[in-house]
Amino acid sequence: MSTVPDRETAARQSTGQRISRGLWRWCSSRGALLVPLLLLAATLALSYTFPQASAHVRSDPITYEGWLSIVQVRYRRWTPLLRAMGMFHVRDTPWFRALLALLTLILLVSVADCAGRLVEEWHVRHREAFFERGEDVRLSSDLPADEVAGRIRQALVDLKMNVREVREPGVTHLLAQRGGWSSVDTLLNLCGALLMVAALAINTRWGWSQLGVQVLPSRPVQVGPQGAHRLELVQTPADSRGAQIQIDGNERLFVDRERGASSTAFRYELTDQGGPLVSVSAWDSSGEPLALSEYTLRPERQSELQLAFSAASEEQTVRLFILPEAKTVVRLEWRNDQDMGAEPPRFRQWAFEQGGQQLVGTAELTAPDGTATTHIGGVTYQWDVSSYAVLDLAYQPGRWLLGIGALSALLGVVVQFVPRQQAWAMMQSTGEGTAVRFREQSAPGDPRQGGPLRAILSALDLETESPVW
Amino acid sequence: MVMTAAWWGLGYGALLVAVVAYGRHFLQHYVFRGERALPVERVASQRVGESLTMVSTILLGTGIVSRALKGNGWPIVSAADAAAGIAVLVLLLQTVWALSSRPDGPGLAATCIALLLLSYGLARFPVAPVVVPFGPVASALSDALNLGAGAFLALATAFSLTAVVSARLADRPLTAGRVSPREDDPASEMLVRASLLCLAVSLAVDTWWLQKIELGRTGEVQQAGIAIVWMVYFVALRLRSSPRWRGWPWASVLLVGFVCALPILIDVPWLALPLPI
Repeated sequence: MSTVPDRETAARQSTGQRISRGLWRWCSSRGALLVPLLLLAATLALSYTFPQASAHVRSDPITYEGWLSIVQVRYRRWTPLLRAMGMFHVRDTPWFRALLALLTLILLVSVADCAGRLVEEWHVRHREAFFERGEDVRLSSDLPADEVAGRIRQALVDLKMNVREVREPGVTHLLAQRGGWSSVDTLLNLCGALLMVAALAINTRWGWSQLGVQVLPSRPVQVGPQGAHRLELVQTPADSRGAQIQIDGNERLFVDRERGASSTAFRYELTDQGGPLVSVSAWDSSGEPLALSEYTLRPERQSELQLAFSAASEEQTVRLFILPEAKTVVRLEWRNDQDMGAEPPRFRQWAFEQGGQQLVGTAELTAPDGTATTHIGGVTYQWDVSSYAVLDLAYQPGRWLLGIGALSALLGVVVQFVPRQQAWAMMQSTGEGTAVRFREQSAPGDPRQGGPLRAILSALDLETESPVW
Repeated sequence: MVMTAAWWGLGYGALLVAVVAYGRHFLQHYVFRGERALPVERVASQRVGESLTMVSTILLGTGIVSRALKGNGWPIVSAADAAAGIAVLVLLLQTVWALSSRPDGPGLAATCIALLLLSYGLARFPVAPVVVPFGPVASALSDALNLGAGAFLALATAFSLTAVVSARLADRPLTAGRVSPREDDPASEMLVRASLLCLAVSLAVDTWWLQKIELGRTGEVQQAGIAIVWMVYFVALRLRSSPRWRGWPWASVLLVGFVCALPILIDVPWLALPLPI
């Protein structure tokens, strides 16, 4: 005899089971995917509409504020509201993650449900949903049910169909398929969709991109939101427009013509390579080192100055710097063509005094072995010429998942094109014989359509007129 | 340059007249119903439309090929080029459909969609042979597959709209819960499947073989967009197995889907325009 608490527990369990079953049914239904997918598409549309701050920009508050000040020019007084709504980092908002999580859950349930249906006997029985449409053929035979089932089975096997049978008290179900293996198409497609969503989730959570990363020789650069990855320029080979760069310990040669390269989860494009990087230091006639500073509004004195010339921009071929103690302004012009190939870099140097009014002298500068020295106006200049590279970098840890998902989806779509033929039969004993309900399904225009029905009629010795439609 | 402009101009003109011819046929056949009693057959205005569509396809196709040959590179450079490319592919598929003796094609809808795309393309179209140097085969393949997917989706939209509108105009009452066979065109489903195939291959090529980044442009954004487009159409196909989703709902899904997917497929420049920082 059950007690009151037992009954409550049982009622609670059944409610829980009902809810979970209902959730499972909803998640595995055809329409469940549509709502989160449309929301995801709308969210992505928002991320296309508004400029998105990359992870490395957002990781540095000062840089982020600078970025927002640029955005403010465009969106004016709407900027604070858009910022509060997360419109400038849509893919990194909690609601976007929640949406991806919901989509992943629905897809997981759909995959499990689809896989379950493939292995269970549901397909064979295919009950009311199939027969209630009124599109089935009804036959009756005087033969006993077992005999009818045997004949129908043999007729379908003779058509080279794969036949599965399920017996229940008084009823026998048959499912015959040709190309039945292609019913895995939905499963493959769902798996593809699941992997794509997973890739999107991983890329939006852990991926980042960084534009215009300048890599100098012997000066490692840390990249990524937390600076977790180390880049170092090994060399820029003179015989190719490329750069040899070490990324997290792995060396790679980047060539411009490749238009980008990839390594594990990284993708990167060499936007500027092989442009000369000039380090200059200076001494006066007594051998005392002179300070140098860039020709800017707020010059900083340095003992050695680095001047980068871009191989990608025709405008950046001239650099100016100052020797404050010698009251000298120096103009350095890079004189190679942009496409200099294996040719060593050539420069021309002008030195001016009296605030740049009086030309003191000029010198031609080439550095085939990487170093050169010039003397103008009692000042000795020491030049070290090397190359540098500029990269656009993206870290996409979900890239491979996206690729596998695409392949799975591709396989699923290809399998959909395989012509499939299915036939169901349900045989039930009546007092006088056996009642048969039969339906077949073929692709539109399939010449084999009607073949199973003709075979069954022949096997049961029934005339064409005898079936009750 | 004059010759290239001539190809495009003549092709556009031929398409314009084809739209008028198909429109006349449509009005005759469905609106004024002068020939409603006739079985579906090719009347004169439809034949004119088919012929001019074929001429337009040849002229526009020659324009694209001549641009590639003169510039010695891949002719699809911008979103406008991609839109024009999709328009030419739509016309090509429509021509093939008409040549295969299918009497009841989506001539008016297909040529209208192609005309809209071509108008956008030509409005921003440099007549000079602007091309990008031939790079890896995968790059051209990925672009071509995206254009192919766009063309299939456009034609599927045209088919479903034609079927729905013509069924309604022909005043065929629909039984409750069922879709008239005329209102539901299975060809649109096949075309959507073909576009899904193109999108899946394009995505696979993009992630596995095409090692480009193009951060300044929209490579990564386009990938995510294509993945979402693929999933939405996959779900739409699953829904279509239910009769409630055929007919008007299916045509609406295809129309809205095509309008939303087009910017992703042609990779419009305003997708995720980066700020200079």
